[in-house]
Amino acid sequence: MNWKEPLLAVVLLVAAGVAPFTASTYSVEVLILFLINLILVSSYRILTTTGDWSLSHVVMMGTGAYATALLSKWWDLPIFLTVPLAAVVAAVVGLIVVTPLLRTKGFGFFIASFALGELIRLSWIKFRDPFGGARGMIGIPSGEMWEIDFFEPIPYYFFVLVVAVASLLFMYRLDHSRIGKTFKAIYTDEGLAESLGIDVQRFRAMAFVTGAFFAGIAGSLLAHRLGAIDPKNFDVNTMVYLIIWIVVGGTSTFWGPLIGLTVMTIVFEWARPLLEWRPLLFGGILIFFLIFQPGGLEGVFAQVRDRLAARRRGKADRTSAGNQES
Amino acid sequence: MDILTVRTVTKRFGGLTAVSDVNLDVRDREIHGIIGPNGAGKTTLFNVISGAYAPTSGTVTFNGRTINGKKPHEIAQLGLVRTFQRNAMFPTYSVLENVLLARHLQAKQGLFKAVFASDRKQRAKNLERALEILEFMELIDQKDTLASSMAHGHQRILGIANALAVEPKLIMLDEPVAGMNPTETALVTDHIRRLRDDWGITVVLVEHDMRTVMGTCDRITVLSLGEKLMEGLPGEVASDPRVIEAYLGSDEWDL
Repeated sequence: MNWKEPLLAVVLLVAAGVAPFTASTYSVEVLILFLINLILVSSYRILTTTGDWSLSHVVMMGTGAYATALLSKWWDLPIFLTVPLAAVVAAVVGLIVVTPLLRTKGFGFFIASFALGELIRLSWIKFRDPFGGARGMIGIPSGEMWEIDFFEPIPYYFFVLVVAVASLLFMYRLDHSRIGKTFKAIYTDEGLAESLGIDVQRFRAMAFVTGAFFAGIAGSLLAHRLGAIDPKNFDVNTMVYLIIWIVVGGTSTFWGPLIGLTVMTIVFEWARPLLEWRPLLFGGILIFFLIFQPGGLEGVFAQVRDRLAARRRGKADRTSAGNQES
Repeated sequence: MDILTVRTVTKRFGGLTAVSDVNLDVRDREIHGIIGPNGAGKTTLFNVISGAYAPTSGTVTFNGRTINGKKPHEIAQLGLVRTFQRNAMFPTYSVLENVLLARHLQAKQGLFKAVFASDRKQRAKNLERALEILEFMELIDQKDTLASSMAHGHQRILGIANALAVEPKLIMLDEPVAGMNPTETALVTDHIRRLRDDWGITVVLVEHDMRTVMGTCDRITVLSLGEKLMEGLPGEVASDPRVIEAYLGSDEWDL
């Protein structure tokens, strides 16, 4: 880690601390959703580093949301318990889902993950008790801590901020640990990684389950905010948005998906007047990136940086040459 | 002492018997060649030993343990490491990063330890060992070169260096000089000999190129049509009428 990343993190944190006080209530709500989505995209990136682009990831988020609703409804658990427990439930469901998925890879994995995700999602519709059927579940408490009511946007914003920072920190460390490196080695060359003693299936499962855990956190935070959830929140539409965010940002660095989400959230808000044309716009953006910039925005940043470095080097060469002459 | 023993191994794919009733004994610290014309079952036998296929029948014993039926990564962890016919490496990493990554892959630690514990000591140790391996494989001058931009021969040597990061007792090389010019071939065979001479690693070599096999191996096993034809010293093999007959008319074999 160089000095630039911590500095950037501090600047972002200060900005995040000030932001809600300068923004309208509506904007704070947008910021809360943005922070929740930060956890979601970052958790999805863990899966993509092994090459497993699961289509069931928002269903894992939904699992966390439904677990939160049920835990609140049945046992009246406080928010500092529902969030971690919902994450554990999502991780367990993730483990159950990934076990058969490990037998597939590539395109097969893609389709099978979609099918298993739909199976879970449709079961929320089918089993009206306890999941509430197509109308979903309502009356999820917004939670409170130390007598602070999280129904108010600003306190909840800070609660989500703390959870998001802790989650991102964990995922950042994971990405740079030997386990994160193992995920990437598997993606680069599965056969080679295996020949070097790596239990490929175990690490693929680990990535999937860890991703599901953090998606569960995101789902739980979302459920507490919305107060009501239904199966439509976690359908393939949402999944497509997740894929757009991560494709626009790129997946080769930790920051790519975060950049993608930030840019697309701004575009999404800016395009609000376009109403029903918005999906078309987003589809166009997805296709544009897949064809012309498959590395995502982070690839653009890298290209600009390389060009600047090359120019600087060119200048340095010229000055040193000049010095020699004099 | 035998480090690797293959006993009456048969591998069938449906109705096709690729390897039939093969025995193989590899002694500790020898360079053992496996040769045979196309379709002889060399690659199948290689894959059975390295764990990619489970044998239909028979046993494989490595270092006193039965390994048939074990998974490839388990066999690698026991110290039997294979390399690939293709140039298998991590192309977007530098040479040093390749070997370092291969070292990192060896650590056994859980998720939480990997995320929270500082492993500076282990990292320093890994770096030291990686440099040692690069020094030994004479890749140290290219340690900062991107793996994908290396010459073909050097990429194959890097493949062996990555395998060495696992600290193998036995290394299985799948056609290590395939597609190489004579200079590259000499370089690679020299390294193979030093693996055994200097670091005491047993080498099993599956090879097409007869000259390489004859010049490098201590003993040779000849396969033909899925069966073991004979086993012996290079000189014995080269002059054996059965071997000559097996290859007669096959233009890839210039004995």
